[in-house]
Amino acid sequence: MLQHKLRLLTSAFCLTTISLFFAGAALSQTCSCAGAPLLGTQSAGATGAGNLLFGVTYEFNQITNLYTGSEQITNDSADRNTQSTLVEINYGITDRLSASGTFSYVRKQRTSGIGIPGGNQTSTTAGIGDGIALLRYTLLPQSLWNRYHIAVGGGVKAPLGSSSLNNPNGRRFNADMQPGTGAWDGVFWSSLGLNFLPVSTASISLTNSFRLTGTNERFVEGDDYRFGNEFISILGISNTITDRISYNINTRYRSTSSDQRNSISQPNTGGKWVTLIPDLYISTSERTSVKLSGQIPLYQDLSGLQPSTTYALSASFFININSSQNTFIHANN
Amino acid sequence: MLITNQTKRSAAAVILGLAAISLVFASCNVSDSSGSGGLEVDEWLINENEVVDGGPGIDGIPSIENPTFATTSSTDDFEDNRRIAALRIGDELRAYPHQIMDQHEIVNHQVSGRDVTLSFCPLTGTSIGIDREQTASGVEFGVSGLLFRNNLIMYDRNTGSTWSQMQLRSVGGEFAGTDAETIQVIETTWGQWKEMYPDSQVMTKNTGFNRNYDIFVYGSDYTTNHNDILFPIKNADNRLQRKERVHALLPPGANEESDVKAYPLSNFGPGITLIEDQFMGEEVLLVGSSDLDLASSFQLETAFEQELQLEAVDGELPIVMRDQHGNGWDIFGYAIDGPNQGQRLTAARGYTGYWFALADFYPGIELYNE
Repeated sequence: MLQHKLRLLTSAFCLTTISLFFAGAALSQTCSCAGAPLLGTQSAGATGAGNLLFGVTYEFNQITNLYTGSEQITNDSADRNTQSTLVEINYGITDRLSASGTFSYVRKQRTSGIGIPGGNQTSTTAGIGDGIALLRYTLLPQSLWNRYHIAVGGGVKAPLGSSSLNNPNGRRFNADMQPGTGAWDGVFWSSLGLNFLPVSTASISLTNSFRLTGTNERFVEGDDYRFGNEFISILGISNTITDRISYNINTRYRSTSSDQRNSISQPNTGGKWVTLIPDLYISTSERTSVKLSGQIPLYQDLSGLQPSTTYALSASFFININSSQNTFIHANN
Repeated sequence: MLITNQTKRSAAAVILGLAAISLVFASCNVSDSSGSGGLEVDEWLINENEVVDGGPGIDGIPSIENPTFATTSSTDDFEDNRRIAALRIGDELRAYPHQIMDQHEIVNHQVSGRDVTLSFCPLTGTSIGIDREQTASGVEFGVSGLLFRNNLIMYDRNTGSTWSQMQLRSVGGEFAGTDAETIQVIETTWGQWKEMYPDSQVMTKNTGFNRNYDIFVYGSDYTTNHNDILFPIKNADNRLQRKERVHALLPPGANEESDVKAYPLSNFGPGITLIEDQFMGEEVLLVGSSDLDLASSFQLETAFEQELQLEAVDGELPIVMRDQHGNGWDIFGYAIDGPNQGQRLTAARGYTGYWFALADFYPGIELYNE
């Protein structure tokens, strides 16, 4: 049994790594200015004792729109995108308690000077991004007799990513082009679910997460930089289309406070975003599923002048390995 | 046999996984810059380690190439208490509201038939006018996206050479060491400018970009909050408050070691005040007013200039001083009234900016009346 589990873990790890490599090779990262997806991609809580859930997500975030407050202005001379590959591992320690880790690989690209007489220039950074480790506990599990599900969690965001990448001339990129923030953050998470069985297969959920950011030294010793705290609330409605296909329609509210440098708020940082996120889940086998997702900005109110997400597309692949049943490898043999 | 096959598969998966990990890590933490534009700098005349990426990239802050102007008295688009930069060439008076310059920093255009660049660095509060033809043939300035001690580094789009705005010279590339031929710029509030020069021209919000020019891009209190500095200060100097505005005189080819002298605007008194002083062995005259929030400086070079007995004049704007011949002179040093109308004083090489920035650029800076 132990050998069996080990084999499963090894195979799943390799699959994850391979996926990460291919996604990373094609692209890669998160952006501090808009849509850092680390917090937004957490799956929904405990998976059951001994269950292992692997998820690999690739997200492309196009950040072309420029906003002043809630007013969109033209931005023909610059273009940005952030590509992120996220790997989530979620293990059920008990039926109610689970541990998860999310790791990222990110690639940021900035093109400026488009249409300017001097010509344009594109700068790219790529590397391992920050990661999140969470413990989540289900306070109230859903069952045939209980239509509510309540879970809470907490953890840390670890500064696994570099925050000191330089360009080919040896000049350090600005903080928003770095793969990592360089700071330890506290992360708090909660989820509330409600289903309507047996009347309907529809369910609704509300997931909140909060990141209490830490401080990183930027250019010189004693020069403290702190990204703004981040709050994300996702209200979702889900239902099945067929036995294998279901959908989610989520509305995400994201709010970040202004970045602080030596306790002084930095201009052109922080804001509020409301985004519509339709998801499509396709169960590809008993243990695997695919999620396709998009982001459509509905409203933003940003401090100063900031680029913001024009659209984002993501695709996820999940493997659910249940210890009480035959393994994924065995099932596919 | 089944176990053997599974073991083989597991081993293969492990090897594949390790190979993938190696490749992943090998590709980690990479960066690159490429494109048809850019900087061509092998060696810098300033400490390259202090040159930082400001964030938006080359020309990420787009300069204005085709500004439009309107008559000041007929324009009501700007807030009276926000500042403008202004220059005068002959009879042409142009004002450039900070509200617009905050988001563009550079204007390339012609004034009186001359190729002129007006640059403004919001972080250091410095506005510099440059006669491009007199500076270097064919230069056209853009915003490099780089900063040196909080200050704008411009770049020449044709050669990729870099220019330090506050050092008034090229600091890298083909033109390294070349001084900018400056055009005198004064700064004051929009409300004051309207009173002084209602018939002048002011740059309109019709810049070719769809922007909101009513916001404070760097925060509503950046100009007055002494603690709000975006990038580290290397040479802190507490003789004045950081955001106190000073008018500084510089020698040609100014660098970190140069003798620079600063005149706080607060030293000028509420009415028009003249300060006669010596700088680098030359007689200089400074004109300013703390209430009017402006200052300018002149070198008394010619015999005519040295013989002038100038006195400050209040209540006759735009005339700020009169001489013994009855000439009335404006803040740009033009005789706009009297027998010598049309003549002008020789502008000194100087500009107005925040104290913290001047003191950081020129650690040996001398403070007037200290």
